[in-house]
Parts: sequence; C-alpha cells; structure tokens
Amino acid sequence: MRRLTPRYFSILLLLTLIVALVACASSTPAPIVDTPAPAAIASPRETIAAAEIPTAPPAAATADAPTPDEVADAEATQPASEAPADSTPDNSAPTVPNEATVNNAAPTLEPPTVEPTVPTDWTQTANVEGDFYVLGNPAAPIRLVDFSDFL
Amino acid sequence: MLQVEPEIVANYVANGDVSLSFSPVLDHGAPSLLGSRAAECAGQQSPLGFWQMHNLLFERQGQIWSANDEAMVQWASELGLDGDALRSCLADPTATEKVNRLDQARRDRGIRLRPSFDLNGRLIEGALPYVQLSQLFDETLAQ
Repeated sequence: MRRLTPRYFSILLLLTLIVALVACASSTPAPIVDTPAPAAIASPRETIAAAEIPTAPPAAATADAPTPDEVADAEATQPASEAPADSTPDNSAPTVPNEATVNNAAPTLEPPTVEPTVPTDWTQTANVEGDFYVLGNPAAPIRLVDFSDFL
Repeated sequence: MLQVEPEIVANYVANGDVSLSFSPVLDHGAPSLLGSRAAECAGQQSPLGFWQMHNLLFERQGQIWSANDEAMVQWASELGLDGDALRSCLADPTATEKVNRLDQARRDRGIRLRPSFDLNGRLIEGALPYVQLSQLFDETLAQ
C-alpha cells in the first residue's frame, strides 16, 4: 500500500469535496431565478392584468397567483387590455379593485339615514299660557278663545 | 260651541292654523262651577288633560246637573288621569278661585252671550255657524 503523501491526501480531499457538491446539487431543486417569492397576496400588477383578460383565470389573492410566465402569455393574447402610462383618461384601462387597494382604502362612511319627518298632531298638543290651557300650535296665526259653559 | 268646535279642531287646529283656549262662563251656578273646576284640575295634571276632560264634559253634558266631585274623579280616572290628585284639587279652593276669576274677567269685558269668541283680539259674540267662522278664519289667514 502506497503511503499517503500530502499530495495524494490533497487530491483525495478534493475529490471528496467534488463528490459531495455533486450530490447536494442533484438532491435540491434548482431555484427559478425569475419567479417572485411566494406570497399570500398577489401583486397588484398581476391581479390587474389577470382580471382585465376575459379568458384569463380570475385573480385570486392566494398563494396560487399566476406566474409571470402565465401573465406574459395572457398579455400577449390581449395586448390592448392594459393601457400605456401616458394614455388619455378615456382610453385608460378600467381600474379593478384589488385586495391590496381595498385593504388600504379609507373606509367609506355610510350616508346618514334620514328618518321621514312625522307631522305634528296639533290636536294632541297643549300648553299652558297664563291662565289658559291652549290646544294646538302655539305659533298658530289665529288664537281663538272660546267663552263658553260646559252646560 | 259644542257643535262647531269639533270642526274647528279638525280643520284648523289640526293643521296648525288655529290655537284654541277655553274661558269658563258660569251661567248655571254650581253645576257650571263643578264642570269648570273639574276641567281646571285636570289641566293642572297636564294641559292635554284639560282638553280631554273638556271633551268628556261636553259628551256627558246632561249628567253634570246631577254630578258631584266624586263623579268628576271617576270621569278623570276613565281618562287615565290621577283620581286622587283630582280629588285633592277639587277640595282645594285654588281651582275655584281661578275659575271664578276668569268668569269675572269675561263679565268685565262685557261678554254676555254664550258662546262668544275672541279671534286675535276681535270679539265675536253669539253662536256662529261653522261656515261663517270658517270664513273668518280664512280671511284672517289670508291677511
């Protein structure tokens, strides 16, 4: 058996390292460079682009958001769906509410409910004015005093 | 007044054009005084109570002649008023003094006919048909 000289030891160590690297590379999947980090909420651009395309699947605010490849394919079939940045307002793409926008939008206030006014029943309204118990509208233009007997 | 008052209330008081007051005329002695005292005591409990008792007194006008304080207490209780409070008020001379004072005031003003009306300071003596009263109201409202 040949004695392991430092030279042979180095070569052996190098080979071992190479084998280990190759083994690790083959066990883990290769990272996809262009795919964004998985998120629970789809990015606004993806959601808008997906929603504008009738044939595209509906945008979902889940981890199953369409990949850029899918969006790119969909955009290619509908190139006019997304308006350029400098377009006139009439040609702009319709804004589609997305979850990010909705979540960040200011809460809309409910318009105050206006209760229908109930007219006053003046025949059931009475007030004291001096010595008298006055029936009806105290601001009535006619003040009538009845001088009468109960008999 | 009994004949035209319901129409005045329904057509002019109800829509806010006329406010109505009642000033007692004691032309029939004790029964007149009893009815006026009962109405006054009902009014001391609530202004609307006066008019409730006022309406009931006119409805049972024929029974007032033979009624007494306890009958008034019973009638007040039927209206939902406090019978005990009415009884105490009838026993108090304050209500009698007020009724007599108002009656004297109309005598001092020269009012002799029943019913008579004061329409915005204008004295109208004697019973007028509702149609004529209505015309007076409309003329006044048009001014």
